[in-house]
Amino acid sequence: MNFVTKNISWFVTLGAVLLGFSAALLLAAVLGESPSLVATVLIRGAVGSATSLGYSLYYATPLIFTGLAVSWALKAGLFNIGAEGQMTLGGVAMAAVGILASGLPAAVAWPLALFAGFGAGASAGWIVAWFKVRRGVHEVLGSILMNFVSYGIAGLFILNIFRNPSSQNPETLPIGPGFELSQLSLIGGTSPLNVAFVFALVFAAVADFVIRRTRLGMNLRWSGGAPEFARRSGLSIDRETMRALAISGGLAGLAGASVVLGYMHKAREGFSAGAGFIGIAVALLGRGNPWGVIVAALLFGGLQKGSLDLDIDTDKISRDLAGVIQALIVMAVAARPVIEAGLRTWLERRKREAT
Amino acid sequence: MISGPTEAVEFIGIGKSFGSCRAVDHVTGNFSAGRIHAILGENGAGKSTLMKLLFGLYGPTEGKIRVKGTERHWRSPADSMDAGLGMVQQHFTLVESLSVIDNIMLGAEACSAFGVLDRERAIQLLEAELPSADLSLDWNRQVSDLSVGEKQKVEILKLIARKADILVLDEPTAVLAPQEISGLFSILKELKKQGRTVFVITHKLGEVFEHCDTWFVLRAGRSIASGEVHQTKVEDVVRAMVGTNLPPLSDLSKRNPGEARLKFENVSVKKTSHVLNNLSFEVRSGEIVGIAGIDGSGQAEVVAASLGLVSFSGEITVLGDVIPGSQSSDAAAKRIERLRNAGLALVSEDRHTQSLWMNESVQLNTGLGVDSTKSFFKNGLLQSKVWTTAVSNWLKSFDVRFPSLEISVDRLSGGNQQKLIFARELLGRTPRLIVVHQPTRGVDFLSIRLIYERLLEAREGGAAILVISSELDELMTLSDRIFVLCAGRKTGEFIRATDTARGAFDRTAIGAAMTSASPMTASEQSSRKQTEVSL
Repeated sequence: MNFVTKNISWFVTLGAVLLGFSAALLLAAVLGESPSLVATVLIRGAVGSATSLGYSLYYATPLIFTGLAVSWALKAGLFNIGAEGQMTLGGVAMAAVGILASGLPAAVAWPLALFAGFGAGASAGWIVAWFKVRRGVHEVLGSILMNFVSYGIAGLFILNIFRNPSSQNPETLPIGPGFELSQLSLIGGTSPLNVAFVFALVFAAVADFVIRRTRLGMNLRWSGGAPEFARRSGLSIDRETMRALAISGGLAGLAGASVVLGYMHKAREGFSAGAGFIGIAVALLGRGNPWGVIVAALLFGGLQKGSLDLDIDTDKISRDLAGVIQALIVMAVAARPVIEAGLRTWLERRKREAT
Repeated sequence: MISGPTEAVEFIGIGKSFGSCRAVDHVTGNFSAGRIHAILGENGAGKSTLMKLLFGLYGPTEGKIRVKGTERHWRSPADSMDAGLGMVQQHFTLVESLSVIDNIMLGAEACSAFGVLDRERAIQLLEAELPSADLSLDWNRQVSDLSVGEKQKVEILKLIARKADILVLDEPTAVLAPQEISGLFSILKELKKQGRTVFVITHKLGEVFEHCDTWFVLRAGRSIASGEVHQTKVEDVVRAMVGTNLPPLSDLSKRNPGEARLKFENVSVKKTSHVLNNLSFEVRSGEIVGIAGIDGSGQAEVVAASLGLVSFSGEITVLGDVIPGSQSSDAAAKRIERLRNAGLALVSEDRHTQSLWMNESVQLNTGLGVDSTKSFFKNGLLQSKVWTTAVSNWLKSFDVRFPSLEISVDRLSGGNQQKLIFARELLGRTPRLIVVHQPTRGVDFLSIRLIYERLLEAREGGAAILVISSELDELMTLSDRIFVLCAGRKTGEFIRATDTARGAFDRTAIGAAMTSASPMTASEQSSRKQTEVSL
């Protein structure tokens, strides 16, 4: 009982996920499809084979990065909804260094590419922060507008500067072979899963350590949790805001690694595929905790993969059901405080009546 | 016990629980009609809850309420209002943009045919109810033009217009200057003469012994003691409220001021109007300087300007550092950090936002902001052992009661929160300048006593101390010098009459200075004079 009360937030979050799934299955039933079939297809599609699992993890990889990015900003009380644009810019920057310095060996190329991706995303985040701090533009407004700017800049690079003239697709020249991330063949099967997934786990672990165990992390949370107190103790809220949004943008900038460096080996228009926006849901579901973010990203990655089979294996519903499930989960998570408060009262009353 | 018609209110074993917390616990008491009853107790003792039970804002968990001899079960506050009860909340519920009479009529409008408001009749009806001309106001003035004391009068008039004969006032004097306080009580005494019963919820014993007829002490939800004011000694009431004898404050040593540690020279802060106007003062090492004044007279700006958090003109020197009149927020932050490390201790007015991180742990809150000088971090990495040991000692030395270091600080009582802040500010650094704003608001007596002692110790230790408070008693107890802020101006300066006698200040003169210099229009001037005459 004590365990439940202590971790009530996580239990309610789990409940929210189950609620989202149940509602989606109910919807499937209303549409005339067997809920058990839908559930089976989803689960088999996500983890049914080594290849499926590999794809799920591959889809989860950018979500871990964008989820971390949004969580990082949330720790400072900031809402970064520009992860999509930051991811796009980061991916383009990785492709750019991969094209310009194509001869480099992997030992130099990988760090350089990650650095470029982080830097590009961080710049976009920094610009949002600059407008907030110096001009009072709310970061939600700034970061959503920055998405459009980022798309434009990315388009300029993909379609003009680095365009592959011999390709029919809107994509850049291929990156140098040293920049290509190794495939992860640990689990077998044939999936595009690559070491970017490991990078994502490492970054999550580092982020967790920094947030909990360092002055950087403490100041980040302090500026968001008690800004007036922090200001009166000599913490510059402006500086923390700049730093938080820049690091958040940088993390989002890394999200393109698994796609650009690990799979396509080039940047293609629209490669981000909404991972920046899903990252917001991942961060909310993971409650801003890096480990929670990993779990949430795996869930959403698996959902993304599993839902692909819905098109083929069911008659009446399509992969869009995955979007519905995501939306329902997010709504259930958003209602968490209300549910949690109710549950807490109920638990306390039961405890009292028991004694 | 036989209940005659002279009992206005009787509580019989009444109780109210919120969850597992018993806010009011089997309280029994009789309150006779036509008297002023003081309901006393520390914060959280259950005073407000008891009065809300009486008024029907809460339903009791058990027990009975009799009003004028009849047992009552309110379904809503409207019920109790019909039965002649009325309550003035601590925070006024007035429509600022309406006139006095409109506010009084609101909800019980006097109308002629077709629903046209009949203000004339409303005024006539009201004036017939008034005990004396003291209570009358210019009925057509807009409420936003009124002083705080006058607004409170409007609240009372609202109840009189509804023919309330049992009035409850929740902490009515918290927002008033000394003169306004005696004005309020002379009104309450007029109401008493008409046979009305008045309950005053308060923790200021001075008022009780000067103006009230009976006292009733609650502690931890229980009724502890009660009696007639004229048959009681102050110490007995204090003991009932606190549960033990209050230790006496240590003696004051001779005032021996040294170098100036905080200095304002012709400082003005301008927002839409002047919030600080040409203010000059200094606080020297080894002395306690108090700033008196009604809330919102510029006290918050004195603190903000000292930290460089607002733009100002003039010159401010803090611990030898000249604060620029305007600077970037980064520069301000660097300077604050430097000053704080150099010995600037700060206890801000609003502890929930300005001095604490509410849903974080006791441990974190006690160490925040002092970590750089205390090597809580090594190369940016948290040294939790060092941190834990240091804050445990600080908390122990300030007698902070907490179940565990990990518990969220919002679970502590106001007194423990404030002691935690003082522990951090005074022990986390060597304090050379201490700025405290409302140091004891919402804090229990024993904690207040401990805070006073620690401030006096710091004075002995040579710290310069600035105390900003709206409690004049507090300032008179602690200060070597007091100056008064009114509408951003210094309107009076007072030095303790003798070097060692505590509280040797002219209360009346300070009170007069607190309301003297507000920039008023001619009409306000004249009506203010009327009020003062009526006092």
